[in-house]
Amino acid sequence: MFNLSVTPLGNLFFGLTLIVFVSLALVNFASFRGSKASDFKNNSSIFLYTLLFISLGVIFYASDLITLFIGWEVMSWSSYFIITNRAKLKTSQKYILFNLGAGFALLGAVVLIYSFTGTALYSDIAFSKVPTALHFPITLLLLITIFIKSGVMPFHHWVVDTYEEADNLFSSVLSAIISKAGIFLFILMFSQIIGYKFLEPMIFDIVAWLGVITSVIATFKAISQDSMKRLLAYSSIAQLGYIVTILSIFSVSGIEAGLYHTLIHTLVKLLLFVNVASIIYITGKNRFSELGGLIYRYPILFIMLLIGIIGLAGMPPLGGFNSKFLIYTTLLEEKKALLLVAVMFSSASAFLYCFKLIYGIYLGQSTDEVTEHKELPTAYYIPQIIGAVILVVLGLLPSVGIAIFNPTLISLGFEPTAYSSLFELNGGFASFNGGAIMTLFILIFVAILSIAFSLKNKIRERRDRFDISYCGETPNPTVNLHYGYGVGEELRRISFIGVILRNSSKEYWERISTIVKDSSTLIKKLYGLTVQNIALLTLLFFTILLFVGVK
Amino acid sequence: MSILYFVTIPLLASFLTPFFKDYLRYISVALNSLLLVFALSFMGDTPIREYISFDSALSISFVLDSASLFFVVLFFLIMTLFSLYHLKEESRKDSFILTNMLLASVSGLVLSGDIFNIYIFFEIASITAYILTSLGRDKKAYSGAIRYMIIGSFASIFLLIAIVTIYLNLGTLNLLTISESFFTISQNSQFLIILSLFIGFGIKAEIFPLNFWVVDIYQASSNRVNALFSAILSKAYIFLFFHIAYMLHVDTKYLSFLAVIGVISFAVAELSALSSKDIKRIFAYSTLGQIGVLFIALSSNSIDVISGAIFLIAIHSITKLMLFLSLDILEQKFKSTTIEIFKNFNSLFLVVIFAIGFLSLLGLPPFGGFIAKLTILNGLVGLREYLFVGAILVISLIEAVYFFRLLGSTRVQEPKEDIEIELLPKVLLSLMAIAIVYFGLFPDALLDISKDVATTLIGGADV
Repeated sequence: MFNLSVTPLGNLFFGLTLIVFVSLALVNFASFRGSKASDFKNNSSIFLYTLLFISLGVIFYASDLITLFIGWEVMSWSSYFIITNRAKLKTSQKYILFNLGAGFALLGAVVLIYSFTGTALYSDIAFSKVPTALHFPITLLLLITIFIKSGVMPFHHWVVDTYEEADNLFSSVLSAIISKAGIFLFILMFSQIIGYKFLEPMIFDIVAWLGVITSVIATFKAISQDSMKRLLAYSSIAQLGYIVTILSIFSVSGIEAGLYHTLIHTLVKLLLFVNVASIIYITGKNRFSELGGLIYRYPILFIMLLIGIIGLAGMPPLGGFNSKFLIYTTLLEEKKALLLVAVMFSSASAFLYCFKLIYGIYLGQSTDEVTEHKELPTAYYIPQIIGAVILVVLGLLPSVGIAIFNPTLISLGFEPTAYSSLFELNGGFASFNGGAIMTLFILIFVAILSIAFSLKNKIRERRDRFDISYCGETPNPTVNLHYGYGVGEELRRISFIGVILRNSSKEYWERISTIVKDSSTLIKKLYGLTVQNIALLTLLFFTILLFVGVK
Repeated sequence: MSILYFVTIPLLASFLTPFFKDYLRYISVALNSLLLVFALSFMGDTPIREYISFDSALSISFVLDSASLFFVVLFFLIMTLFSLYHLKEESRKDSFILTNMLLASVSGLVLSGDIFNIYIFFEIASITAYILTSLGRDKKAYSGAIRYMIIGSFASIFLLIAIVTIYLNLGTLNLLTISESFFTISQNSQFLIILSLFIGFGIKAEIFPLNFWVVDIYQASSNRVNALFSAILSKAYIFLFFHIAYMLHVDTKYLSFLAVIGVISFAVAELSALSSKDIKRIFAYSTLGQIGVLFIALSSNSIDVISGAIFLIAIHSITKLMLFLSLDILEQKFKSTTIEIFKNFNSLFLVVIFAIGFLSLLGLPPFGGFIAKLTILNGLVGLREYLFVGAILVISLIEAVYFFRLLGSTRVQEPKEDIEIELLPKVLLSLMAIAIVYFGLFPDALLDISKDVATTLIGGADV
């Protein structure tokens, strides 16, 4: 019943799973050690994490659709129970309903394919046996599955609340790995389940645009958030938008860029979510407006976050630049100029929220006077250090990524990409040397640092965070003048972006929910009828059928 | 070993109750399990036919084919588990009269080879069910029982109309003979018979729009009785419904009508459950929903789909038995069955049991319900019934809303009370849960049996 096989694509995604789960297991182990052995939640959590881990393994190593589906659903419900540990009932309901919706769409596609091709094994599926009229519905069902899991708009409604309310560490699993299951299915869909030949290019232009629009909207939503985890959640949606866009280009370089960005995003989000989890653990606060100035007490966390946002923003000299570079070159190569502009617009705007992240938490004025600090277990540093080290290594040796992806590309039926040295990343018509850039940046960094240190004593004395002597606005004691407070409000005044920020898909989903609930209360009345009425209805039913049927 | 024993021994046990009051629990369990073993020993030897009188028109005949054997095994298995569950309890000895009578009548229903006998067992089963409902001995229970009786007699009347019309036209009540000569009756009489049978059995098989009475009755009865209603009684009627439908070779347009009614039944039941505030009612709605799915699948006239339905019947019976018995534990603690009680109990064991039951009902892997759903959907796609596939998937999502809301509320941070569960119930509930997981992981043996049953059910008249 379970058909599993080891494939390069599976290895790649399972490798990411291992990185995330092993590093988080160390953190969890450290935090469990102090608790009682009979603790209900901890015991069930260990079981559920294990189940989730196994189900991810089943998804990535499945060699037939049914096995894939089994893994998929087990992933959904086991993660649901982990989310209920901390989230509100409404949020976890939202999570499971969207994800079950994804699962049922997948099941629909699976039974359609299975019934027509007579097999569920990827290697044996001959998609040409499926009637042409059904190609589009099957593609659509699979795309809905992918969109929901990866949070592509308009199916992203569940993502943000879930990421915010889940356990702080589990948010990193959700963002780093579980969302990648959608990406995995996307690659699987056009490489093995359906195949390029049967896919309408038109649909995938639309998908590419959906991805970009998702990333633009989510980026602006991220900027205007006051909660750290919500910001990261929107950022996660935006990044997955890029991956979906670049994968729907269907070229070697497109897939390479998509895989590279998947790798980078997993590392970055593991790092950032654990970093934010550390801050929440220490201070118990999740809002930028309540935090600030933590660099003096937690310099290592600051450096980790710095590495994380450099990776997230796709700036040299770290690994994040490699995948952005590949995305840009691929889009240029494929002459998708408009997409390129949109992607660049969104990544440029992403700097804003990256800056907010580092400024709001670590820079600016300290809020120490109002916050009690708990001591952070050392284990919280492990996932961050793992992520940071890999990001630095990838920055120095960008083609390590290509070396990792080549077996996958070969197994998907592409030519592997040649690379002259591990230092050099070749993006078609342009290339760069990671080693050189890294050296250059380190030199500049050292130079700036030495200037800063030499000027240290000349910098003006620190001011209180409510001191607005250099501000032009009228002071008001109720307004918090911290940087993190109210950033993004001004964006609402820009006509196009303001419209995006004011509206959300929430209303539509809630309208659907209201309609279902209303019809439920209405229909339920049938089951409260008195016995006379039931008897009458039965007779009526009999009579109507009799008149319809008798000739 | 006669197949009559499946009816007579429980009936005898039931009438002997007054004499063996104190040991009856043990005797009952022993007899049930003994008969279960006998039933299993029949496997492979079917079909068997037995007549009591040899007057060809009015003979009483019993038929044991692989389909009825499957149901007999299922009923005896459920009843064995049920009576084992109550082995340690001193209270309510009189309920053993009724449970044994119920068992005798449902095995009579599935085994009978003539329609008048079916009517007799139909009545015995109904009367037993009325009394079972009234066992609560309060106002709610008695009014529920009376309502049940009124609706039940309605069903009997329609069944009687059908039987009379058949006898007037064909002069026989033997199902096999009816099956062979049914086409000779005039079109209008055929329609009247089919319609009356549909109403008569439809009320009992709890299909929309004849099932408006069900939920109130479930609420009036105790959870243990509901476990039997849901796991045994409704299953017997559903089998009978389709057994007779396929015996009479009804037209495919009637079958597709049944499928549409199944979809409506599923949708209406799940929608109603959505805003229900009482767990007993929710379970009742869920049973109605599953019956809707069974109607979609069983009316497909295709072995692939029907074998999925048979698989679903087995899994659903075990699941509902498990769920109602677990709910009973909660009701004894909290004296109520509102959904609020799910927030207030602290028992990892019960949460796991409920989780396995709910996920299996939703058709999620790796539980038994998933295999059933997969088989049904796969078969329906094979028949090109895409609309039904879509409907089942979408409505399952509505089903997920309330089941996951219940599961989610067990994890809500509120003051919780510990629940003590005795060893025997714990073992039995675990056994049922393990069975559900086992059939989800290793479905092949049960699927083969289901296929066999489906073949017999469709080809009913050829046996």
